[in-house]
Amino acid sequence: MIKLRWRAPAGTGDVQTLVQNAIDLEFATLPPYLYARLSILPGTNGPATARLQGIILQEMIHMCLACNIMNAIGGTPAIKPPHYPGPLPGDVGGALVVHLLPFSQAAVQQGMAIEEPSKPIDPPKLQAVVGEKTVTIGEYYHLLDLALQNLPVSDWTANRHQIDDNQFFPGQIFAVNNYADAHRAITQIVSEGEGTPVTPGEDGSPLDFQNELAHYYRFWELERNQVLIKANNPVGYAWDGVLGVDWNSVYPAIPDPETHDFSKDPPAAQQAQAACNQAYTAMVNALTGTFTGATGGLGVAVRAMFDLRMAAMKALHTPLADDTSVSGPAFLYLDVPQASARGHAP
Amino acid sequence: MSVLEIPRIYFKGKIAWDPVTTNNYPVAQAPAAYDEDDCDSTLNSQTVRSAQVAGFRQAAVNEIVSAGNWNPQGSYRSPFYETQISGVDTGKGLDTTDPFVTAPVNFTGMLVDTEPYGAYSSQLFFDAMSFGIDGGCRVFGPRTARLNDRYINFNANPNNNMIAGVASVMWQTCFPKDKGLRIDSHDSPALQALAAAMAEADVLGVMVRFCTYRTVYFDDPGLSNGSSGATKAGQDLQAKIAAGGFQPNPARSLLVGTLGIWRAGDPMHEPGDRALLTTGVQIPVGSNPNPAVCGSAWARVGEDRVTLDLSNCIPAQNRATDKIDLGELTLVAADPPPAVAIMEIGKIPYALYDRAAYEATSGIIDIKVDPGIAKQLAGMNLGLTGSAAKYLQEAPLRAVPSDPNLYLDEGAKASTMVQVYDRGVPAEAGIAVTMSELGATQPTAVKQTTDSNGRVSFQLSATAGSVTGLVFQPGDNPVLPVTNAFDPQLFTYMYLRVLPADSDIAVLPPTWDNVHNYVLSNWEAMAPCMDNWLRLGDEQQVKVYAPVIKRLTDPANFEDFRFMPVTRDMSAGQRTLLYNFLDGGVALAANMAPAAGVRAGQVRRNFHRLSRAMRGT
Repeated sequence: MIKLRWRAPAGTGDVQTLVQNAIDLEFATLPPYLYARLSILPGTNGPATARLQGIILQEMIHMCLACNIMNAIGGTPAIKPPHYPGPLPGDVGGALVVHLLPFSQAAVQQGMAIEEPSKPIDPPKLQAVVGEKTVTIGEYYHLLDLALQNLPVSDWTANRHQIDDNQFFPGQIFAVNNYADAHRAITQIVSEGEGTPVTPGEDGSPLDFQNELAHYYRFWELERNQVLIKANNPVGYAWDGVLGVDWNSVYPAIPDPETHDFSKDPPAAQQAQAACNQAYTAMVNALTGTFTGATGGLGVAVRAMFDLRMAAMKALHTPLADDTSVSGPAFLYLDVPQASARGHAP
Repeated sequence: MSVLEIPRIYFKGKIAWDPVTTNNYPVAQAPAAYDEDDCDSTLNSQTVRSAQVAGFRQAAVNEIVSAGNWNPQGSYRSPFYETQISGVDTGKGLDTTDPFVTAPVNFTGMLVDTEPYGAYSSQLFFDAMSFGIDGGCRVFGPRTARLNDRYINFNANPNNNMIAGVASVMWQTCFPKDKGLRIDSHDSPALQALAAAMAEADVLGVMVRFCTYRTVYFDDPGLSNGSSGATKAGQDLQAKIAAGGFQPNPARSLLVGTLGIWRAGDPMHEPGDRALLTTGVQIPVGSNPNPAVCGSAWARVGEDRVTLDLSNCIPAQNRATDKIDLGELTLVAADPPPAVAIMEIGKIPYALYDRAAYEATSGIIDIKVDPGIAKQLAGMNLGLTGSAAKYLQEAPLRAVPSDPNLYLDEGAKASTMVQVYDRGVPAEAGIAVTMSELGATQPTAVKQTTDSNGRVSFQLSATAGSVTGLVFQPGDNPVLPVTNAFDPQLFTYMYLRVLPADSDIAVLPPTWDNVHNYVLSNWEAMAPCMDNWLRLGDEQQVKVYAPVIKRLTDPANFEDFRFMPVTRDMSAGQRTLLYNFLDGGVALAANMAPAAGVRAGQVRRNFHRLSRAMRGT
């Protein structure tokens, strides 16, 4: 379980910092999920692919919504690429070091650890926290919701660099123009990640606000290779059947390519990794433009995402020096946007 | 028969439409256009080759404002969103407490027009529909038949006058019970009833019918054709595209639909129930000079009820989709002409067809009748009247083709079966069916007579690249829909698209220049969205992905969601040249060392499977 440090905000600037933490966290979940997804052999593992794809799309949306909140309260979203392996941004638990892992039980267990809800979480009537506290992701968002609620109306600006669903993700991204919109965004983020939490007044549910299975439970299905089904028991659900996960239908991708020394690999592998880094850097730069109001920014970023996918596919088909393994993208941001295949030491 | 039976499961939500629209323009109508006979993208009336790709793309963008080309960078994808089960009916009326209610409905199709210039032949290619989620109450159906638009009503909402915002249209498909259909009932009485119905011998599976309406463009529900707002929206899209990247501009519609029983005799792709066709009565809508018109409807007579499908019938009075108040409607029945006696079946007050009622039961209305009535109605014609006019009149005979949109290669031989229905059930032998060409200037036609199953078969000609609408009319001496007399609300029809052979292209040397010039540049120009997946102008990429390209363009995968080209307009000659080129290239998979191996500390990999997968994808 991720543990985040919550520091009670003293003003709008502090709330912006807390929202930035949320942006960092949402962005940081994407590379490990994408690495697992990309490493699945095409045409195999349909249920796993669908579950991972759904989670990844929703995490992208969560980041967009968090950026919308930031813009609505006058801040400037920053896209800060993390390094892997490493802790998630803001994690003070220290127990979870996030890796880029090919699709495997370890990868989905890592996903569960990232998305794990607290059971039960705080009662519904949350109290503002004075000082510092260590909280789960869900609790962090609930406290952030309270902090946003306490901002004066004058702190909210309508239509400031907002991303909506008019081009992508129909029905899932919306403009944040006031606290009500922000509350809706946070509810969606928490719901899709953790489901409906167990509270004194509620039995809890693995379903999100749209009655889809929340991320934690989708990872759990993969980990157990079973389907979570409705059942007439006190919990309301039971494990059943076989999901059809094939852990072997995976590219032989190395973990944590950032720690790999590509200089000893064939030129083709170096070039493939460099192309991944370049595409990733272009995507981060495009996202930065998107959330600061660039015309057509999201379309530029989406194209960059497709370019990254193409580069990743090429890399996953290019043997490394051992002639038996390949590498997915390291998700390495190049400060100077030019091709480089050098990995960083952890 | 059909979703008008019990049980019924209602759903409602929204759908996005993201087609590339540049191929809607005939060659002479715009600089960037499409020749639907030759299947060629054209720039200034010339077939696009490699050198014209960039110019074509720019011309298409220019046409956003100059010609109303609202989506030159579409992806073709059309997903449902915010769509849920809204209610069920197991015979006791609308129930919103069934556990299935609020379950999400997931669907994504590829929107492709058989006839790109027209509006009567849209299709949604898809792989599966899912009502509910895996593990919960769910109906999951792998695709057997693509969805086809039918009964488009261009007078459904005159006030939403932006492009096709005035229209509503019906879609239908079916999922055979023996082809992967899953019904996970759990504690849902409605699903339990549906699952139980599957055990009946003449139940073939599950039918899904839905109506899409109130389409919004440029994500602005207030736009109107020719307005300054529409121009500004177009200019904004041009600015986005100028910024680079991938800039789709999907339209959005509302939808209501029903899931129910598919019984033997029901057509898969359009209603086969008793057809209550629009009389075309014009209904004023405020000060709008364009009137509304009721769309056609369908009826089923059961033992104790008459069920009407008005999902595509009652027009809207405004952009909020409030239904026009036609007053109290009356369902009537009359003996066939020349008899004049009219029997009143039931009253339909506005509260039963207003917007709230429409959204609650997807436009389906049950009218209770005495058990003896059903037998009487078997030989009578139904109608729907208001105080001011008669809006619907039953056409007892309908001739429904089995292939709503058929693709053939030039030179191929084919026939199409047409099932005649007599008041909603397969007709008997001896009924004449006339096939004529939609839009023909001369009243030429072919006639056949039904067999004992009420069916006829027509031979189809595929002599040259072309797109032809074929209209089917049952009965003697029909009035043919020559010139512009065709009305999709009244006529049943199919589209036949013949792809040219392009034999001259097939025999060209398989060089990159030829492949790009005569094959790939066509879609590189028309569908910039392809840049996301494969740069069709990049020789190396095309060679590297040869196995993927061959699989996606294999005619055996024609119905698949991911079939390429999405527009299904690659000729046999083009495919031959492309494959000759790809077979001579070096696929990326060949770069992989063939040896199997295990990397220390990692899960053992099956390299044989890996290698096979790489060749196969």
